[in-house]
Amino acid sequence: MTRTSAFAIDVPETLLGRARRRDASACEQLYRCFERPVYSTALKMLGCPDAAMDALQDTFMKAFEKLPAFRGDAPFWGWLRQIAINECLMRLRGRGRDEPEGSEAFEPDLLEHEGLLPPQAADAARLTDALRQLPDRTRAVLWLYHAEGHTHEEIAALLGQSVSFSKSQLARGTRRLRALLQVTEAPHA
Amino acid sequence: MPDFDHSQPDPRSDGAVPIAQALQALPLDAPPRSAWPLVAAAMSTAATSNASARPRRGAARWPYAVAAAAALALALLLPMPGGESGSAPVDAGGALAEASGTPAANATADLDLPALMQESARLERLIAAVDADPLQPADALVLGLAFEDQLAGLDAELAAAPRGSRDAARLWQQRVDVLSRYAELQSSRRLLASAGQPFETTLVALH
Repeated sequence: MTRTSAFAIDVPETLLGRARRRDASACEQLYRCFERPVYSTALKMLGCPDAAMDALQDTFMKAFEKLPAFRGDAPFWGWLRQIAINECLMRLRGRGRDEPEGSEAFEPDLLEHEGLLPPQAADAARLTDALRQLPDRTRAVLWLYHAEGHTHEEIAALLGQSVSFSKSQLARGTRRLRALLQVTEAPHA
Repeated sequence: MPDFDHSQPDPRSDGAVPIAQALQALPLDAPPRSAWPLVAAAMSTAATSNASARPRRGAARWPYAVAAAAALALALLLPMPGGESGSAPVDAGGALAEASGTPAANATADLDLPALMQESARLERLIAAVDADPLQPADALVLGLAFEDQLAGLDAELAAAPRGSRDAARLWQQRVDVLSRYAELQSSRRLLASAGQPFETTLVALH
């Protein structure tokens, strides 16, 4: 199944033009359009509603500040998403010291069947809860790769790390997610 | 551009779900409150001054109304094809001269608009300056929000009113009246505060 990013919303050029000229109602329309994708991405990557609110606010402040310089040779949503992701990564870098020991150790590649999650993953609340329990950067890599469709090369560049770091985090996060979902099922089995 | 080839085969018969599919299927989260008033306030601040400090959560919502009104005023002031320029007489309180009642009544109302808008903008600048006090008492903030809501209602009507119509002129007049009352209250509050006296909002009538 292929699905586009939640950000993938086409915006009329006339609306962007008005927003570039600081038209308040046009800016508000853009905000309303992308409020949920930005907040949702921030919440998934940061795992904390307060931090996600701050990222939401700062993303739009930066976006409207930089909008006059947006050339429009790529879709607006991609440009905005990049600002949102950068805001999240900036906050994660600030939390870097809290990463658990060994989170950067090499992790073997996933076997084919390990790319599948147990059926409980279809329960949004359970999956969200399991995601929240992952280490920050592991969760971010998992989200960027699977939900936003970034490549390992892109993730490595965003995080200032190597491609093998990204692959390793993905493998570790996936295994941990599987384990968390299986553990939560145990009492009901 | 990021690729999207991470999806794996469809769920197996045992109910296992490909991780990409499971993550992409998560519903979008809605923020507990809108960040727009603060974003708009920051835009307004950036537009009117070079102040670098950004308002954080919990800041007053008033600057948003100011920004929205300024944008609306700008839109309405843009020259219209075949339109007339010039201003109509408006007294110190912002009273709109009565339309003649002739077929040219709409044109008369159009002539009055620039003066009303000018007065509205002047009052907004005054209020923005007075309202910038971050240490306002809670009751004054609540009062400010009530005025802001009243103003937002008028702005919504203005957005729907045809340009240059008598309705638009009447709404602009009401806007000036609301702003005048709020400016007067805020000035009184400042004056009382400087004299060390409390500002009794319970005695203030909003309408």
